[in-house]
Amino acid sequence: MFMKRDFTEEEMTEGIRNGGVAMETVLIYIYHHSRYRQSILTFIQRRKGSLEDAEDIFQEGISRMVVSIQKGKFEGNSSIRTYLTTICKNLWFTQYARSNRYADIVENLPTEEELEKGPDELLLLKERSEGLKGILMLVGEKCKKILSLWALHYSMREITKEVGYKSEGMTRKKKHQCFKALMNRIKEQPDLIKELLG
Amino acid sequence: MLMSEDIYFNRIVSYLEGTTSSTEKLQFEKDLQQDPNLQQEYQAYLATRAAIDDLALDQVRSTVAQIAQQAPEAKTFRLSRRVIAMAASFLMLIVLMALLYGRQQYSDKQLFAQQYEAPNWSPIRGSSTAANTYDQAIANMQAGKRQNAMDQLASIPPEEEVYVTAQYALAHVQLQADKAEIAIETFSRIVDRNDKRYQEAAGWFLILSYLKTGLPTEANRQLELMLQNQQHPYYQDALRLQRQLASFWRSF
Repeated sequence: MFMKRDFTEEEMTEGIRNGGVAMETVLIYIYHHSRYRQSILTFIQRRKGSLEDAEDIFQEGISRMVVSIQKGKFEGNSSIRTYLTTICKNLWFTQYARSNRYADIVENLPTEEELEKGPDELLLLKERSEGLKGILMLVGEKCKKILSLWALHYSMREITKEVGYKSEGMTRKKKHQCFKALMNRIKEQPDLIKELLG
Repeated sequence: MLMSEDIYFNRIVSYLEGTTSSTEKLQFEKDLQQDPNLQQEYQAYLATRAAIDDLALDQVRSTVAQIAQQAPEAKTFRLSRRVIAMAASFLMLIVLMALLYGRQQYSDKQLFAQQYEAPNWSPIRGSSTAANTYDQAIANMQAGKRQNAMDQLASIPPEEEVYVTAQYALAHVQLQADKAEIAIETFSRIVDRNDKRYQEAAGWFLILSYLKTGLPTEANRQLELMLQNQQHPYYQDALRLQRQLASFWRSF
């Protein structure tokens, strides 16, 4: 699965933006390339994090970077590595701040350079509301899978294979139904619409 | 679902996916401003997309977690501990070297070497046998024949005029020949003779002989005696040596 070749910045951004298998290939590359992973793991471990903490942050950082790039919020002004590092640093400092270790927080406040907190990352740090959690629970696992893969630009063929339907047509129809079902549930909650659009 | 909702839905999808003509696009935007139902549908559609984006994050997390399981094991960061250990070792090494250096610089032998200055010897050119013997001894001393020099100087009897001079030279040759213990006896004899020419110098070199022999306590005792007389020609030297003997470095 892992392609042992180097990606250019453009190829990585394009791969993530395209989604599907292309995105997964780029993510595998990032995961296997110490230039990305080890530097972030080291950064967190140097700041009182365990290896487990560091791995969790790295995973979450990659996930958020993918969504951010797919939403077009990454403009390519910095390298993928810098962007990912910034997200991971922000995640770590946010998580660290939540841990109530006040003394540690004061001692380890991020420097300006460390805290390159942009609005995109801050937006991504928002917690999922209870209202949304409730609605997503009602949608059903298969629908959630189809809709999320579709949102991540997986092709209908890839989604069909992933969810085990017989044809792409069936997948397309199911995706439409799932979308409508979710939308109808959201329409019932005007406050949730405001929250989601806020 | 009402038919109008389906129509709205399709129009919204076409508009957002950019599959409408420019005329349809303008019409949609105009209707959106005027039609509250379309506005409501449009808001709901966008909110649904936002909710799905949220779901997508979960999906990415799941994908990344699978990739993480296949990824090579990461190294636990131990650099800081290693660096601390290395820094501590280095610091200890520096401290140890400083202590050794200090100790060496303030050792008895080193202090002796710093203080000892051999006198300039010159022949007497006298007419007596003893004077001739002394001159020969000085010549041997300068030629590096220390044993010959010591034998000749020691052979000059106490009743001779050059005796104390010969004893003073003998004590120095003994000191230079690493026979400091014997030099102590010789210098002591000179001090006891109360010969003004050599008594004070012999007192100072007696202290240095004690140092070379590794008897700093005796050297200190002699220094204290010498420092009672501020007019002593070696007073300043004695004061400096006393401070050096009391140095912090010597405690190691």
